[in-house]
Amino acid sequence: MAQILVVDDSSTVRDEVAGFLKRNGLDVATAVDGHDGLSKLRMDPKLKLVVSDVNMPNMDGLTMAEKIRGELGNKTVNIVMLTTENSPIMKERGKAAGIKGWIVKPFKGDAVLATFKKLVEA
Amino acid sequence: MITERAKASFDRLLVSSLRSGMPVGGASVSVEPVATLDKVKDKKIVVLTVSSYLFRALAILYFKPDAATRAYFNRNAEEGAPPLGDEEFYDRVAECGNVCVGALNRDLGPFFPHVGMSTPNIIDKDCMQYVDLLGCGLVKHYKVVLAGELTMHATLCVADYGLVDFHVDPAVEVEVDTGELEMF
Repeated sequence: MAQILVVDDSSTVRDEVAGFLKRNGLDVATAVDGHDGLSKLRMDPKLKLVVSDVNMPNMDGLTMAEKIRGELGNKTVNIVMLTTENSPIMKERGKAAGIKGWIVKPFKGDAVLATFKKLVEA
Repeated sequence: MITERAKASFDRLLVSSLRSGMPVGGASVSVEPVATLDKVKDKKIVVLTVSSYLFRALAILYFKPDAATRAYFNRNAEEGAPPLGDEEFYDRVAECGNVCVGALNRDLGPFFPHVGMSTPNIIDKDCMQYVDLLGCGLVKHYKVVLAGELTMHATLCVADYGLVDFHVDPAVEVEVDTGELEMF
């Protein structure tokens, strides 16, 4: 059973992030946009951490985060955004949706691995 | 209307974003302006937009889907890894454009707080003939040399819907902690 869901429309980013986390002993599933991410989380509500892009087709990452808390009623999964965006307005929207953190791309696995492991174990 | 200092600022921000976003695997990068790209043989372009109610900026990255370009975007692969297939290759170029234009979008944010960017789209270079229809107030072309041997090209077009005036001070470097987790 996966612990982490990586949501990004770019297969390059999905492969890079998921590959790094798997090599470091974590179980990872992937989704291609917010809509897909919401479906995967609906099927597996025990996921501990969602790492998601913001700008994606079909459903963006912030809308997905809002729906995870609202539509799915999942108040426990940790959500971290991994995005090129750094806008205070978007961060405020994310905080209002209960996201846990924000990473500006590019992904540097070594910088976040220890925290990701804590979020998964919490 | 785009003021002269705004044109210089767009130019400075795009060059900075290309320098930070284009290198793969620690490759060197050089960016220089060129007058025209009429003779460029690149077949494909990746297009992203950054928009506000005052302007729409198109950042366009030209590339050839050839062996040299595929090898460049596969520099981070482990030794003995197979060459990139079409889907992987196009996705890597698109993500490279995404990172470049993401930096441009972030740098424009302090001046235009409601600015937003698109996802990348890869289309044929022939579509560039339609850019003139946008009536852009700024068009700049660039040659980008990667790892000292691979040449790509870029274009920045800005269509203005009002007075666009801002100034990026070249003496002030804005650092963003990319890759670091900011906890809320």
